[in-house]
Amino acid sequence: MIINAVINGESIEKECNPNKRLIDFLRDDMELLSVKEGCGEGECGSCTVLLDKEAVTSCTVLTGQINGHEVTTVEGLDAMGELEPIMESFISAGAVQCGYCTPGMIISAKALLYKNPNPTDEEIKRALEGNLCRCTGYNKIIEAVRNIKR
Amino acid sequence: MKSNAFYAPETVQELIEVLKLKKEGRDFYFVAGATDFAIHIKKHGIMDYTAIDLTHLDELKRIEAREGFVEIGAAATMARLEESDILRSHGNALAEAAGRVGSTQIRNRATIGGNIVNASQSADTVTASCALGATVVLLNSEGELRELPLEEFIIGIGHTQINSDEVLVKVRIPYGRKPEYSSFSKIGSRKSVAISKINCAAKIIFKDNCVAEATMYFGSIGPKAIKAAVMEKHCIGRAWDEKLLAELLELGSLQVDQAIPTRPSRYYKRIAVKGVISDVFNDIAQREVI
Repeated sequence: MIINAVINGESIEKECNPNKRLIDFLRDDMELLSVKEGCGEGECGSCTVLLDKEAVTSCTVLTGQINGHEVTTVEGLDAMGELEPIMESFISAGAVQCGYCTPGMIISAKALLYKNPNPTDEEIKRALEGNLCRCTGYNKIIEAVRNIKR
Repeated sequence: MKSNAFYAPETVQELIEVLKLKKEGRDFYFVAGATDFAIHIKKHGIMDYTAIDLTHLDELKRIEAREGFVEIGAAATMARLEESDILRSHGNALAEAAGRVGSTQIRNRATIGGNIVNASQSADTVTASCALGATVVLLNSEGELRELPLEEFIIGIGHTQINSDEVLVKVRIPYGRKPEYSSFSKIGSRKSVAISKINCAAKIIFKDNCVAEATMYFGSIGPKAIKAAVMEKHCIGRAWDEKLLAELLELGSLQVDQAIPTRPSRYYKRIAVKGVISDVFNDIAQREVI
């Protein structure tokens, strides 16, 4: 099947297996390696991407389902100049340890900020509840999201 | 049938055409949020299948007020249910339940239709919808619709009355007599992103400050949501006060004992049930306008 979608701001038209998981399409076909696989069951959030500006776990989306839609990963935020302030905030809060969960955390934070530019701590916690950090640095991550310059 | 085929109908007519293919074919799966499906294919090592994607059918995503009921498209996501003003006023328990499912990412994809047809004994929106007296509407390959009560539709864990050429298209929540209050609560192994160990939903209609009608259901204490008939009857004619709550807590434990008399989890659940009953009771108490 030929997939027509907007990936990181660019329109693409690509032949691929529509039943492939979106995470595999993004990593293998599009070489977007910020998308990490953790549990593969929608539980850990490390493969989170934006689908039409909403956070979704790309391991629970079929590639055929993105036809006609827009997908954004951390690489896309970088290209659009939206990553810098988030990255600075994560670094200054010390919110990155091993870094494996960080792309998913950033995407979930971005999805929250699209909907709610001034979230409370409770709203930040809820937005990040589907992102596990096994270094357990949650307080610093919440602090980082709270301090993102907008 | 060719493996790895993918159909994405955009209209009900196109959906009917695909249902005709499904009737003849094998290894067809309906996919919407795919939050259960992805786990299913991983667990069973399924490599080749035909997917029927329901996420491009706008008609199945709507939540609309109709005459006598709220009609919810089967592909409406948990996030949409949670934020729906119509549901908040005519089916609060369901909006609450949807807001407690999974994580933000899951709620953005998971649908009420998937939650119902997957027929897990822990499905939060099923317990809530049963308490609200929901019916389900199925569409078949001839384009015919059939409507039946949700409670009858679900037979047990993973089993429903759906035929091979049918798809769940709508869920209907009838309007209750006003003033009607409904609520939902659950307990899982952690605060969020948890599958219910026990859940509870209730709908109460008051008259002259006393309970005129009561509907209560529990999930995760049997193969499907269970109606707490004794508790419902106990509420009738009573004021919604501390005395009634204390009695309902004891009846809740008895309900667990009856539902799962031999399961090891009964010792935990006969206490945990009191927590969910208290949550629901107090939420309804706060909403009551006297």
